Amino acid sequence: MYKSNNALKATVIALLLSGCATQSPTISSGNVEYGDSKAVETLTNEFGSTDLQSIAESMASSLLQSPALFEKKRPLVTVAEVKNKTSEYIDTKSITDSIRTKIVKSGMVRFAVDTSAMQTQVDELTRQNQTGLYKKSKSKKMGNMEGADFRIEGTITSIVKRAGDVKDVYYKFSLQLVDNESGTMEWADEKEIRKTSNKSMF
Amino acid sequence: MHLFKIIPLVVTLLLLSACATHKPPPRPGSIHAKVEQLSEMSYLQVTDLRAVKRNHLLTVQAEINNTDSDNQQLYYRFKWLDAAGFTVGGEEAWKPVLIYAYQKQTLTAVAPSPQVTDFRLVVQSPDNTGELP
Repeated sequence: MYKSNNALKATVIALLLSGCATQSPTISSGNVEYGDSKAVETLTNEFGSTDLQSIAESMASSLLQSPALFEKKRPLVTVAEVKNKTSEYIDTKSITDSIRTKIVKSGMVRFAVDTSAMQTQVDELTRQNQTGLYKKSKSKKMGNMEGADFRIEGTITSIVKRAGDVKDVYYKFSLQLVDNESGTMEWADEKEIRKTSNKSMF
Repeated sequence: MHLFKIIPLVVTLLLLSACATHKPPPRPGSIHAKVEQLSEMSYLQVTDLRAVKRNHLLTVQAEINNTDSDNQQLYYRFKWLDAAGFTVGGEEAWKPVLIYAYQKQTLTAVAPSPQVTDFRLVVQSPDNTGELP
């Protein structure tokens, strides 16, 4: 009687415990976990995700307030080169892609294909018009591309200083909007970032 | 002797009643209604919030006051909402700001789209009380 009572208690506890433990839909070795992609990253003081995100947000919001873009109804813009003048490798295309995405999502500006995507655009038009595979009435015509009203171009520079265990990095991202017809600069802005690291233990 | 038994009970009851006090919900339109603190900040306060539509885009300016004699770190981001209360433009990145001792720092942000009609300022300071605001 005593033994069967204990067995019953053990079964109830096991059932309760199994009821509490919920299974996550994961397969994991325990060493990998997903983090917040928007978190402030300070692992090293090289150019990082937080720098890219803050530059993109700052530049996109400033550009959307530019009178040049606001006065024209949904102007056509293209992205020219952002020159990397820092001492480290930075994918500037990734920065301009983020800026472009934010601006496009606002619905206030349209973007024309930039120079890096031009070959793909030409190939697509050639395929539709010159391979004989498409109906004439359904293919997109050659010679109807629109020229951009403005182009965005810029530079990223850095100043790196070391003193003992302290390393200071200053980034300056400059962006400008140029009217393609008149060649006038219609808007410009800068985003500055300072990161300091200290290697000393004390 | 009987009194000595009652005193701890009274003290415990007073402490429990102090813990159980609930703050009234913030008034609509007040700063507290627009600010989401991830925990009560010990030294930083949002002292002013202004919002205005410029070029169809909601522009927000917030003033953060550091009441401490040490520099304080603040992490913040904005949530942008449309007229129906849905978030617009996805999640913003967290942004770090250093606020010097006794400084009043101004943060400015522009909504990502003309659809935005409302906002929330989400703030977190590493130096916090650990309690919900």
